[in-house]
Formats: sequence, C-alpha cells, structure tokens
Amino acid sequence: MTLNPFEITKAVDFSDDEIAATYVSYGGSETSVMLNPRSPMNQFLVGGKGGGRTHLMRYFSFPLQIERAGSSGSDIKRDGYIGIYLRCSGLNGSRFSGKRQSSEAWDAVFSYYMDLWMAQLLLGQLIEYRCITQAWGEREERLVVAEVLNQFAPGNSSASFDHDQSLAGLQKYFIETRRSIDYEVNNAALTGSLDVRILASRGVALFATTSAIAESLFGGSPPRFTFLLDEFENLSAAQQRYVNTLLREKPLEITFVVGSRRYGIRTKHETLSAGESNRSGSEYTQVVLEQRYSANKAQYSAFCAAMASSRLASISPGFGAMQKFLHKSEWTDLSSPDASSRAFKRLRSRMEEVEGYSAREIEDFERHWRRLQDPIVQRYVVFRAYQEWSSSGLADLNVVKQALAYEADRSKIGNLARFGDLQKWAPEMRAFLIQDRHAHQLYSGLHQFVLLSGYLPRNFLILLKQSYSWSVFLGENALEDGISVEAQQKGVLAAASWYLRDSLPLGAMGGASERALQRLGSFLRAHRFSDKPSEISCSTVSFSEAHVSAQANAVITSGIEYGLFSVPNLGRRDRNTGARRLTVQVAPMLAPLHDLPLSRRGILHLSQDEVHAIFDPGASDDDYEAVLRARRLTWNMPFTVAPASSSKPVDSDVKDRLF
Amino acid sequence: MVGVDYSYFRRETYLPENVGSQAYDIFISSYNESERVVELMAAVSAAQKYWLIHDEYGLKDDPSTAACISPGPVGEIEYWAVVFRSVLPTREARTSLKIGIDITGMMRPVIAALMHGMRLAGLQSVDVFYSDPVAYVRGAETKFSQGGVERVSQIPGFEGSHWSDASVPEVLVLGAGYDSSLHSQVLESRRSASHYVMFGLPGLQAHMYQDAVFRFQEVVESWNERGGPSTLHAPANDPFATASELQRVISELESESPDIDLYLCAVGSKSQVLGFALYHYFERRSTSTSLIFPYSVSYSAETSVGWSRTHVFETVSVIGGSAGS
Repeated sequence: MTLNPFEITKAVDFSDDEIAATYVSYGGSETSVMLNPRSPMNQFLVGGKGGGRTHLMRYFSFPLQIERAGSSGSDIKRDGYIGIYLRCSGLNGSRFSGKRQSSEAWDAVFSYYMDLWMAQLLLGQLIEYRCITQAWGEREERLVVAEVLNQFAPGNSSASFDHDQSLAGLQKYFIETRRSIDYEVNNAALTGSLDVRILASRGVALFATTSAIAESLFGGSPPRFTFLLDEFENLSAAQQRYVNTLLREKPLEITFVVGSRRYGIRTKHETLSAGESNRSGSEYTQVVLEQRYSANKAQYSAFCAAMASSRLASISPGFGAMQKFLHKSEWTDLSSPDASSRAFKRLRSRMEEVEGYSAREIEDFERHWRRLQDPIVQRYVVFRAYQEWSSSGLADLNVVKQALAYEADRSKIGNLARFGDLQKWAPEMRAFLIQDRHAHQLYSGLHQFVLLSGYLPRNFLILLKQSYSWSVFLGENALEDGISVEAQQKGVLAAASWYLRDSLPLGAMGGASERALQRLGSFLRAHRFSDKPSEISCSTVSFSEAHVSAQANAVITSGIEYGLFSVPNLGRRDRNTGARRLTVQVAPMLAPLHDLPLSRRGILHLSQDEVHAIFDPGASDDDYEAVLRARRLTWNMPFTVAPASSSKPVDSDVKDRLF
Repeated sequence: MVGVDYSYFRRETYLPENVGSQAYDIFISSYNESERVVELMAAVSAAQKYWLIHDEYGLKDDPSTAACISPGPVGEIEYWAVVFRSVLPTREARTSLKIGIDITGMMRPVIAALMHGMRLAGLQSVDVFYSDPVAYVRGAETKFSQGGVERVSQIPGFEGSHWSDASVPEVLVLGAGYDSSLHSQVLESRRSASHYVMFGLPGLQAHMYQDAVFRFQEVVESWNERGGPSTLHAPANDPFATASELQRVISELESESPDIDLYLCAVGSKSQVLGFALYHYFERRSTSTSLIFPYSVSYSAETSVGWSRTHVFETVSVIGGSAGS
C-alpha cells in the first residue's frame, strides 16, 4: 500500500526524531520570528488549532536539544537554555474542583501540586544535563537538596527526607509528595474530605529549587530554565491565574513560554498578586501565529511548500516542484458547453413574461448572443442584462452588441478593460458557469491550498493528506504525475467537512455556532449565485456593532475563537453614523462547503434583522428564512423591494473594500 | 501482578418472556422511555421496585409505575450513596438482600461508579441487568447525547496518579459506540496519547459492529495510531470479556514500557462501560490510570426500538475479601 507522506498532521503524533526531521524553519530563524527560548521575557504563543505551536515548543525542548547536540556537552551549554516541555492536559486540572470542597482549598492544593510538578520535571532534565556535560558533582547536588529542603519545609521536612542527597533523590521526593496528593484528591470523591499537607507556600517549591540550582550548580550564572507550557487551554480560569502569578513573580533564571489556543486564555492575564494583571510588554509578549504568518503571505506560502516538499522528498528523493504536484484546474473542467445557454434561457423566459420587449427584439437579442464565442462573455451579457433590469426597470439589449464588438477586437491590449467591468467579474462568471452545471466550485493548485489553510499549517497538510488519499483511490500515481483536479476536489471537501467537525466549540455553543455558520454560508451562497449579486467574490459580511445582541455576540466571538469565522478587519466605523462596524468572514477552510470564494473582495452589509436571524441562537429557522426570502427578492428577478416588516433597509453607503 | 480472572463471574441471558423467572428483594432501574427499560421493570419479579431519575433526560413527569428516587446534580459516587440510603435497610440487614439493578437507561459515569457505591454501602454483590435493543431509532446516525459535549474529564473516584511527563508514554483506550461527536472529543482531549479503539464485536445486533466502524471513520483524523494494530474487539454485551481484553492489552503495553499514563473511556454499550469500570476498580486503582468521560448536558430519552434479550451480570465490590488493588 502506498504510504501517504502527509499521514501525520499533528506534532503530538511525532517522536522526538520525527519532530527534528520534519521541522521546517519559518523565515530562517524561529528564535527571532516566533519563539526565543533564551529571552528573560515570558512569551505567549497563541493561535488556532494546527498553527504549529506544539511542533515549535517541542523543537526547543531538552530532548530535542540533545538530539541536535549529539553527545557534545559544550553544544548543550552553548544553547544557553534548558527547555522543559509540559502539557497542561497532563495535570487533569478538572479534578481540583467540586467533591464538596471549597474553591479556596482547591486553589491552594493546585498551586502546590503545580509547583511540585514543574520542579520535578526540571530536575529530570538536569539529571540528563549532568550526564552529558559532567558539569557538577555530588557535593553540589547535596547543597541543592539541603537548600531546597531548608526553604521548602523549614523545620520538619529534612527529617522526613529519606532519599539520596542528590537531584534524583529530590526528584523522587517530589514525585512521592505529588502522588500522595493525587491519592487524597481522588479519595475526596469517596470520603468527602481533602487531607493534603501543604509544606510550602505558593511558588516556593519551584522557585526555591531553581534558585538553589542556579547558585550551587551554575555558580550564579545558570542557563535559562525555559518552561514550555503547552495546552494552556486545559486549565480553568483560577488555575490560569496561578500560572500568570508564576509568570509575574518568577526569578530571572526562569522564563515561561505558554502555548494556548485562541479561546484558551480564560482571564485577561489576571494574577493572584493583589488583583494585578500581567501586561503585554511588561510581564509577557504575545505572538499570534496566524497574524505572524499572514504578515508575510509570500513567506507563508514558501513555508507551506517547503513543508510539503520535505515530506515528499522523504519518500521520493528527487521529487520536483510543488507547483506540478497539485494540478491547477481550468473552469471548463467543471462546466459544460451549454452552461451559459441555460442561464440565457432563464433570462429569455423572464423577458417574455414582462411587458417592454417585442418578440422581434428578443429574437434579435438571442441571435446576437449566440454569435458570442466565449462562454464567460456570454454569461457576462446575461449578468449585465439583469444589472440593467435591476437599476432601470428594463435591460438595455445593446449590451450584446457591445460584447460582439469586444470579441471581434479582443486581441487589442487593454480591450478587456474597456468592456464594462468584465475583467473584475470574470471569476464570478466562471463560478456561475460551474454552478449552472450543479457542480461544486473548484479549489485546486498550490496557491488555493495555501489560501484555504487560513494560515494554519496543519490545515494545509490535511488538504494534502485528503487529496493524496483520493489520488491513490482513483488509481493515480501522484508522486510521478501529481494529484489530479478531481482528487483535489474530493480531498478539499473531505478536509472541509473534517475541519467543521473538529472546530465546533464544546457544549451548547457548538450547536449555536454551527447553526450560525450554516445560515451565514447559505446566505452568502444565495447572494453569490443570484441573478444580480451586488458584490464580487463575497464571503464576508459587515454590520453595525449596535445591531448585535449579547447572545449573537457570544456566538460570533466563539466562532472566531474556534476558527469558524475569521475577522478580516476589525472596527471600521460607518462614515455617516460613526458606529463601529464588524466584519466577519466564513473561514477559508469552510468556504468549499458553501461554494464561496477564497479571495476577499466584496462585503455584504447586513441589517439588524439579518444579524439577528443569522447569529442569534434565539432566532428560529422561520426567522432566517424570512430574511433570506426578503433578500432574494432584491437579488433576483423581478428585483422587488423587500417588505419593510421583514428586513430593515440595507446600508448601501458604506463601500468598504478589504483590498 | 496477577490480574482478576473475569471468567468466574456469572453471566446469564434471558429472552423477554423469561426475565421474570428470578425474584429480587429490590430492583432498581434508571427510567427512560425505551421499551426495553419500561417493559423490563414491569416484567421483573421484585418485592420493591424503584426508578432512578436522571436530570439529563429532561423528562417532564416522573413515572408512576414504581417509586422514584431523584438524587439530582451530585457526583456519581454521591449519587449511589443517595440511592442506597433511600432503598436499603440497616447495614446489618443488607448482606442477605438480593438486589437487581438495570443499567440500560443509566448514565454511563453512574454505571462506572456502581462498585464504589456498593463498597461504601456495604454491598458485596448485585445482579446487573442490561437489555439489548432490536435497533436504534436512526440506525448508524443515532445520537445519544444532546446539546454537545460540555467537557471531557476524569470520573471522580477514578482519578489516577499520573506521571504527567512528556517522556512517559500516554495511552488512551476508547470503547467506541455510535456517537462520533463523543469519539472526537475524547480523542482530542487526550491528543498526545496513543489511541486504542475497542469496538463491540459481536455487536448487540449483527449490523451494529459495522455501524460503529462506519461512524468511527468520521473521526480518523483525530485518531493517533502511532503504528501497529490499535483496534481492539470485545463482545458489546459482555463486560467480563471487555475487562479481560483490557487486561490483556494493558499487560502487553506494560511489558514494553512499565510506566505509562493510561486513560480509559467507554462511550459504547452500557455493558462495555461496566467492563471498563470493573477493570479499573479491581486492577487499576492507585495507579497512573484514569477513567474519563465526555460529559454532555442532556441525553435522548428514547433512542432504541424493541427489546430482544436481557443479560444479567453478577457484579461484586469485593473479591476474596479485598476490594481490588
């Protein structure tokens, strides 16, 4: 069976060796672009699922440092940091709650437990560090143990410490202490009581350990102890407050790199330090990976191509260019010769239904129309007729003669621009022709895959994985001949369906977000394939902030945080009213499910009723159908104005364009 | 460690018309609107009958066919404490009672906590009933949970002491059912783990194994196989075979790597849930093993059609004078 080079799409699935082998540098140097493990400043790495956080954080963890350095102790020392990778999911934070205990009791137990856990993991890395570097001896380790115990539990713990006076002994002591807490936390569900002896106040177990290590093992000039704290979203708000407190109160030898999903930062960086909050630039810096990627689109595209090429080269050494690997489609692949005829027949039958055109005029119009050679031009004539009809009450049939003149003279430079706005609308005319055949829109080729990924590299790999699987299923030899458009088309839809399932928020918000997405998608689709769409390549809506209820706002916010919607532009103000306008786009990965475009050009402005019907969880299907029906009347022949009761007037004065 | 030999546990199967042949002092069942739940309650022979009410079904009215106990929103072990306080006589008189408990309509975490509840109440043995449906109302598309998963977390009382060290392998064994949204949430909640998926084979009905495998394909992107076979099988209506299979697989994994962080989660048949819970209760307590569950806000009160047969499983809280490891 052919191995799918894109089978593994998550860093957690990789061994340390594979993390190193599949690592692709972004822009040449992560230490400056994304993450600096030596920086004394705490860092937050935030982003959607699949942004590459885990890969990056594991790359800077100590096992990978060893991998890169081999047996060279001096290289390890030169790194200037020791990366301690931790997954917050490993704490199973939810168990520190309930069971008839107070939240104060749980907060105290959790903070103690977290200190022990981090100190224990640091000790584990240092034991390995010593094996490689031989940087200190037993005497120094005894000093560390004595110093930690002295601070950790003054007066009583030294006597109960029955382990070796070494880092390994201290680590074992921490593990055993942690296990005794585990036992008590679990038993609280059975006994209703929580009997944990806390032997050190907040932060002491961790900070005393690092201070003692810095002094006794590194003579006061330690490398940076970089705690790479992944999956921060698994901690509750109270637990995050504790971590934020550690960030605030940390000694210089420690730095924290915190990885979290967008929705996973549960407080505004609040701490337990007298109600203070950490401030960006003072206590931490924050990198939003998607923003960093989108700041340089060409670099992101090159990064995606390099990622895919390295995988392909690993199973097919000599693999050529990525551009050839993904076939690019022509719109004609999914259209049919008579697609534009169907659209014309609809137009003609409508012309026959209204007064204003003689039979002769209609026949002439058709005869001229059939002389047109290019289906794009043919479809554009139909569209222009609808445009005219909408604005003037009747279509100016001379448009077909202008089209014939254009075709006769189209080889001349600049001629295209002279025929109305055909050049601008041509992509939509292609979309019409595909739609007229009742086929899904086409998304293929490297460029489109990069756009679809929405600046989440994992999405790009999943698109390739699904397309490759379909290619194999269709009997293609993808490594030799590339992946066909058909396989990409099927792969894209499979990847989009997966993305939807995978991105929905937990709980009731999941259902509300999915419903809002379906309604927004179908609304935009109805607009795109109406007789006279008002906007070009439209997958974005805009509305006044004042029109959004609290419930709708929660759905929108959640949809953005979970990657169902993206926000191409925040906070523009309406030129007339001054009210802030929000723009929301269907996430690119979900666009294929609704046949929406990937390029962002037009914005559809929504009324208050429409915002309510689409986003508010209290809006019924009937509410939604009513606003859609009203809008369809304005988008489709005979272009009647919507009843005032069903939809408030639509803003038409704001003509924002994103780019 | 020598594991429990689950083959010694008694397991019987009855057709609906024969289910009344056994007499009980107390019979307890979780109420929902399924035919196999309601009719079993009517058919079984017992001196006292009780319905347990689960808020998650959102039923408007309590049933009138037996006394109702409604512990409300409490933890799973507390749930059983309330139930047993309500129905059992003095502690001394409990040991001679013959008690039957139908888990067909019961919330899965409550099933898991049964042995803990029994031990705390001083009960050594009960007969657990589970009835097979003829089919589910929407076939492979049947959704049992409603309103989405709120959280995936450890079931209180089944919280292990984990290594929580990235260098220690993490393993998740998921007992799969029909509800793919539950599968994906569980797999994603332990996304760092190697995932083993246990399907019910044979299923409760002939087509149900294929249905479950088919539904699972929707979440393969969340499935970390890490190479090697990671699909397991155990009969969907046999908790003892399920526990035995878990015992075998975990034993193999531990022979390769003695230290593992193990997470067990059963979202398949209720018999499967009992099997997972038995294995944890008797063999994995005080280890780095947790039983986890995707908690939903609510569940459908009517998901199945018909009643084909009923299984009775002897369930104990103590083996040879010990409550497990």
